[in-house]
Amino acid sequence: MKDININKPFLGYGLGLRTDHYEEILNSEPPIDWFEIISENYMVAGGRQLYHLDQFVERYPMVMHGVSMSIGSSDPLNMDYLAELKKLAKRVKPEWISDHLCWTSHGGHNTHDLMPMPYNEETLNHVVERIKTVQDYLGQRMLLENASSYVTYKASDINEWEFLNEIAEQADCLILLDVNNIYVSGFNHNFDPQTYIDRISPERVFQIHLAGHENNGDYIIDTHDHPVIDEVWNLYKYAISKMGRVTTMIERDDHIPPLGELIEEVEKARTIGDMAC
Amino acid sequence: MLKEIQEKFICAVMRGDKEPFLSEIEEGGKIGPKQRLEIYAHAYKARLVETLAEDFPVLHSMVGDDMFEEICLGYIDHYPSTHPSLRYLGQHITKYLRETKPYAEIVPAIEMAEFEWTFNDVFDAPDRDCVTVEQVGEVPPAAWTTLRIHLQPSFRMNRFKWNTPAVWSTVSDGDDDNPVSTQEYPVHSHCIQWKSDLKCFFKTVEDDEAQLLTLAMQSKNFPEFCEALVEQYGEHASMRAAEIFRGWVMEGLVSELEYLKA
Repeated sequence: MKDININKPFLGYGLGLRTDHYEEILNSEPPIDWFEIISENYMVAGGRQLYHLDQFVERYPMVMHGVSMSIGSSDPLNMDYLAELKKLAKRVKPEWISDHLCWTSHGGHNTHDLMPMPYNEETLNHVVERIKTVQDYLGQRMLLENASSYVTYKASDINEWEFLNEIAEQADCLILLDVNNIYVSGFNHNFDPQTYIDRISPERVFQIHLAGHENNGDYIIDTHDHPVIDEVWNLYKYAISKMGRVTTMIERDDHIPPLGELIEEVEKARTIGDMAC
Repeated sequence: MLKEIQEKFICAVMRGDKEPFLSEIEEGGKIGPKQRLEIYAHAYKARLVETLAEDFPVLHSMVGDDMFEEICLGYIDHYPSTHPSLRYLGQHITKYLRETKPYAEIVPAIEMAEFEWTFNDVFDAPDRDCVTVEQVGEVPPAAWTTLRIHLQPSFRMNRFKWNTPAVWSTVSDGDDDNPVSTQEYPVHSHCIQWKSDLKCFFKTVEDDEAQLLTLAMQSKNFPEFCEALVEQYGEHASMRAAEIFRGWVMEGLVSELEYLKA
């Protein structure tokens, strides 16, 4: 195992920044330690999004979270996208930049979805080389997030956690561990979520995502439109017990509730996370 | 191998060619490969239709749920998204409507799509300070012969044959008590859209104003504005040009004045 040779920063407990809450947050300064933005939402020349973003950047630590890097695609890396990402990072000065272990585009066409990877040596080498390129271009380590998935491939010959860990080691990148996604994929693919957490290198996990989902009985969809369920909170407790305190945030992308409801979830994460101190 | 799998997956999701990809999916679990693939296929369509509905709410209202979904699915089939951001998903929809039957014959719908998409571009355009009346007053009289007027980067102008902006206003305001039905004008009108202090505006302009706006976009100078109005206004051409220019300043349409300093 490589010595990653950096101290893991702790930003506290944050929230995914959504337009519905801009005014209320800026006016009331609620107990939220930091904010995560969806990078693509701010890759524009001007307008209200950037106007508000600048105000948040002045007041809070920020991190940038992307959904379209398509690190696992067999297409060439989209250098125009990376240039926009770098330009935005210059404006935001984020604590870090993250994206997903997935592909979103192929043949120049975007699915705008997080498509799963086959977990094998070919794809591992492919993703590792691309992450190295991205990190060189951005001039910093990136965080790679485990995505929820609904298919596994016959072409896979290792587990997702082994794949993610090995990529992080070989590319010397960091991990954004989405505990809800582990729960969702564990349900959909019948693996034990605790085993996943047990096998992830804790020193590389710089951030945790917590979110809700939609349980359809036979399968779960990662919708981010519900509160975090008890089973995911328990899994978070388990992760914290194994990894120690980790920068954590609540993600809500649809059916956005009043800010107070999300703050309650942020506070719950804080209570659980601080138990690890 | 990776390229081949991704090609099969994307064909299944985007074009419904599912069989080749199904054989790549591991069996097992509570649901089978078909249902697993269907989760992605459904999510793809639902997400993109939802995005287009957010970008074209009045078009949606005009044509109804069924036709709107039909338009969206046909559109993403003909123009799959090529940009990493969903922001640009709808950029070709006006073109698609113009070239596709039966939509090509529904001109009010085409115009509404153009009007709504223009707002998207206006909204995200670079922000510039507006030139003030005081700044105009600082232009030396001799410099007006070289004066060039730079419009806001957000400025856009479209030609409409129907009362598209009026319909948009009524539907957007939710004014169900005073609905405005689509109505064809005898001649085309010009509608401008722009952003000032982060707010988006639009208005219909007279032909002479549209003519000067076109000249401004072509970086013509103020004497050329006056010259363009001579045929219509004779000796009052420069007065009319100044009146129109003053209106632009008041409405925040002007971002910069360029002239030779003595």
